[in-house]
Amino acid sequence: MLLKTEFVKARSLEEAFCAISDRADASFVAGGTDLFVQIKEGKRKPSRLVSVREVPELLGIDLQRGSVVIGSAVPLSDVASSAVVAGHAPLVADACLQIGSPQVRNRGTIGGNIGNASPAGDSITALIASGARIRVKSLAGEREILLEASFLGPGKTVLSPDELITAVVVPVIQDHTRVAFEKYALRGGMDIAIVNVAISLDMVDGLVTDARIALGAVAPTPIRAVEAERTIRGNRPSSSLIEEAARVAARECCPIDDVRGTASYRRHLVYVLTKRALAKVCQGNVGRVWGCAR
Amino acid sequence: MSFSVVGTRIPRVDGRDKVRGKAVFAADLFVPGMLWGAVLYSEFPHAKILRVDKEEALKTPGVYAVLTADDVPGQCDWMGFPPLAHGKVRFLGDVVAVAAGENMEAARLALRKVKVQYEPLKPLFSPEEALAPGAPEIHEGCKGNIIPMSHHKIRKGDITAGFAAADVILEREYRTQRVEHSYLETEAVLAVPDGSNESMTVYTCAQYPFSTRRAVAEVLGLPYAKVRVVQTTVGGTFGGKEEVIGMLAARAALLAAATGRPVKMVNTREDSFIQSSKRHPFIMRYKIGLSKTGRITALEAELICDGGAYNARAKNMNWRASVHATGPYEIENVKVDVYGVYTNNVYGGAMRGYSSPQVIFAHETLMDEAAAALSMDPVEFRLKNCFRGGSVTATGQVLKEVVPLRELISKVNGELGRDREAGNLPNSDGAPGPFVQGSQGDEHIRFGTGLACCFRGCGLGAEYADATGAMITIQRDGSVYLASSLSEVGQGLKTALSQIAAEALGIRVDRIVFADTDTSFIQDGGSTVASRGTYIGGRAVLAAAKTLLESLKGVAGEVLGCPADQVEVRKEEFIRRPYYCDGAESTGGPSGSSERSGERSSERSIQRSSEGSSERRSSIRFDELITECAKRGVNLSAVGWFSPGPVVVDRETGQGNAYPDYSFGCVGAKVAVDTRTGRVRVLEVVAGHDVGRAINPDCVEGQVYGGVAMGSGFALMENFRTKDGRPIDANLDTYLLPTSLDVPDVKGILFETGGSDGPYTAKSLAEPATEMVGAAIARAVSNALGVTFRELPITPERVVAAASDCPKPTDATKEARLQT
Repeated sequence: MLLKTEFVKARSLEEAFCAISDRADASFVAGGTDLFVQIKEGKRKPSRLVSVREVPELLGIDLQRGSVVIGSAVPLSDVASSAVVAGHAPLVADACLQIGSPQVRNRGTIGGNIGNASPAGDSITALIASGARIRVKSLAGEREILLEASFLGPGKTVLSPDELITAVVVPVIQDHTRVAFEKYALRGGMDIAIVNVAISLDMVDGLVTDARIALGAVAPTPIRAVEAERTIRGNRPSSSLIEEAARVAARECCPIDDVRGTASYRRHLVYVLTKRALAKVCQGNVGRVWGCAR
Repeated sequence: MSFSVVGTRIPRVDGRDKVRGKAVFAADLFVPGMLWGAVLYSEFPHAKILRVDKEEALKTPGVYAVLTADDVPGQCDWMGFPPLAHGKVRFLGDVVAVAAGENMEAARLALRKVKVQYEPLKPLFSPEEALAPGAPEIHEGCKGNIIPMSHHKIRKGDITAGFAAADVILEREYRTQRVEHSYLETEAVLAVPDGSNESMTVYTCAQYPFSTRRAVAEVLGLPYAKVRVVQTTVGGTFGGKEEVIGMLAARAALLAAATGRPVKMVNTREDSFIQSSKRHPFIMRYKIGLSKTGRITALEAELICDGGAYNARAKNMNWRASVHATGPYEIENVKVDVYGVYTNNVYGGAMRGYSSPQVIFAHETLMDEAAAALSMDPVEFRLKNCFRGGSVTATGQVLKEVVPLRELISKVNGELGRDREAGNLPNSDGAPGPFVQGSQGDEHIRFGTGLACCFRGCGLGAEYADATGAMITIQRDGSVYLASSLSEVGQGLKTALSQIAAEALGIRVDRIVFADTDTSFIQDGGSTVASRGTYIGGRAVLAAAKTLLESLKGVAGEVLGCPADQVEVRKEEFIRRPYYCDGAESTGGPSGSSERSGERSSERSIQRSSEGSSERRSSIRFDELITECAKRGVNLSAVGWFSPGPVVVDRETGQGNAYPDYSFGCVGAKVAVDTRTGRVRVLEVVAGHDVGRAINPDCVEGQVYGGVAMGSGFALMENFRTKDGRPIDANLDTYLLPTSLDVPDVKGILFETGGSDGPYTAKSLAEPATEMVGAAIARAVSNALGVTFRELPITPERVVAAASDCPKPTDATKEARLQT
């Protein structure tokens, strides 16, 4: 009668895969900040939880061949406070610091934030704008997927149940790259984004050579504002160009009405936040702005 | 008058256990053989119950009882609320069946097997729908769905003549939302039957344990004396843990009686949201007449609250609303009508401030609109019309006390720096705060200030008889046991009453142990509501202390060789009055007169020493005195009882002295508004309160800070939204309260006017602390945008919509700043 859930604490990747493969409805768990809520609400009923929180292979932050490689079980608070991440993937550090509360960031992991596949996931937009890939492993083998290609819908990814995200691979920020992250939520902390926007622009001699704009909570998955990127790419930034790109971004997203905001308000916020982030980037002042979560 | 304990900042007497996690809450209790209870909610917001079939449910393994209204041995209703719905369901939080099982899952599984046949009826989700002609009756025989006794009237002066004399007349409508208390601890109860199953002990976090006792006794058909309710640590209530706790306790007790085993029920946050009362939403229609000179000639108000499916509060709350509907302003001609209406929404109940946060939002917005219509400064307008000493309220009561309202308004206004050019400087010190860094000169960020003021009747007034008790027992070792009919619910009552008792007895406060409320050990003294814990409860403590002091002084007099009335108490010492000498008072010095001149007493002491009376003792320590009392068999336990006396108000006109005392307050807010995202950041709140006297300034300030946090949620975030009677916000993930990051800087200004009937002249504060805050913030946002918000909460979406209409700043755009 009681929901009986077995809890297995894996000490190595091998142990984790063994524990997941011999039970059909087993589930990986790291911090549990999303999964336990889903279990409580009856949305998930795993008969076995395989904790990967203490698997050593999933716990490092390293620089490898031009990328920051963050183990999937690294807590969000460690990502946010890591000097390596702050120096080489500042967008990711900034976004992770804006998730939930200190308690949630201490429990929650970067792999979990991705695997939960919320359209509003704060780390996800930042990682997409940074061009991140994820390493995914199962007993069958290992593969690397471009992060933005891994989402199918709210809570849905291309991963199979026996696959585990082992690491996030973020290309090191270039000297000519400027980034900004904007989250808008009703309150200053412990709140889910109504909209978040992450921007990464490559600027050479005053020209935008490449632009990556990621939007969260305005579509079934986090998306890239490809039209807005096209608008700005190859051009010299000006207030009119920023204005236009922000309008294009607002047009190309497809938000819905929900408990946190209406579709039209979200569209409006995409315009406001994209414009703010672009203005900030074009001025070269990478840093926090007023509308952010703190 | 100087004090040794009152007015000091001692740590909260219950603080240590709470911060160390040692306080025991009802959900922490486990007893052998305990079963778990669960509930089955109604499927419809409004329906007839045709049939309930629990046969299958009873077969569930591990389940010991499944009960419906048919199984209730006593009364089915308590205060008009059915712990188990019978005949009809009136909202989605109605409970149709309960089950007790070995664990929660078993009980829930059983309830899923209960088959209920309903005949759905037309649901009514707004007062407008419920008041419409031909609307179905939610409660049979309740015509027009108006809650019985909820219509309160004020008729003062000649309203027609008042409007005829006006140069300007404004008519406005204001609306407020439904708010959830969101106390940290959800409701929990443990019901333990005695061996013979003829009496019941209930442990629960009740705000008013005697009301819970009534609920349990009535459903079980037991006399009150056979039901004992023991209050466990209350993790917040704010007015909320009354109806919901009574019903939860009744359900648990029914299951416990049916199974003969202890039954525990603990609400999840979702259960709490569905079952518990909410702040009443109000629709407030005002009409105000103004003279060109800036005086108010007449005020007419019609206030309607959505009472939900059941209601035990509108009859009292609406009376408070009627008395305070004018705000603290002198108005000769007044007509007020307040109604409560049944709907199929979750029911309304008491919440910190009762009806005042809603009503103050309306009258303070109205005052600003009135000032604007007259092209007057809103502060000047308030100063011109507000109460002062001797003013007459809307109920015809003459304010005989000190009325520091003008001083409060001026002080708060000065602190806000409203005199300076608006919109230039965000902070009073002129330096940009962290919030505005990078936004200096941003034309999308607007600054605004606003203020709100109020008066508040202390205690229950004419709602119902205001009276309460306390008991003090001095133990043989000199420790002191203090019990009160009123309860600690997180507000600081134990600390305040301990300080009052210590002051009155002249002893150290650490001698006192404050008892938790137990209905079998102390008498019913009404609910811990209406900010009456210190104000009324403190007087009962003083009454008990007075009785004890008489006994103590009597014995002290025997020891010291003087009559009892010649003994003074100072810092644990009972002292013979200095001017008292043998053979009774020589020149008829009045007893109890401590104002005798120093000259005379020194003369006496010289005389005494010259007579060589130094062998006779002049004082005795408290500890020794207790031993002396024990030797003599003197009773050192006393019950105190206090009532300010009946309040007589004419029910047709509302005229009379509505409350014994009033608190006064003024709160100012300073906000920054981002017109693009709609975000409102409250930068600072200045809270000025007339507290009479601060028994413990730390606790008073704590009330003020908490009140500001709660009020800012009311203004900007909190809204218990429902769709077809069903909560949209099922938990705290979408029902958003301010966090520590959202609470502004708070500056508390306490006026100790010292003129009330309260203990050591203390007045009510718990509710004034929050009731003006929402209005002040709303006024500040309106001021920032030049748009009047007449509905709460002011969400970002509403700000964005309003900002698109608001006047644009005239300075040139910052085009150049964006160029690289």
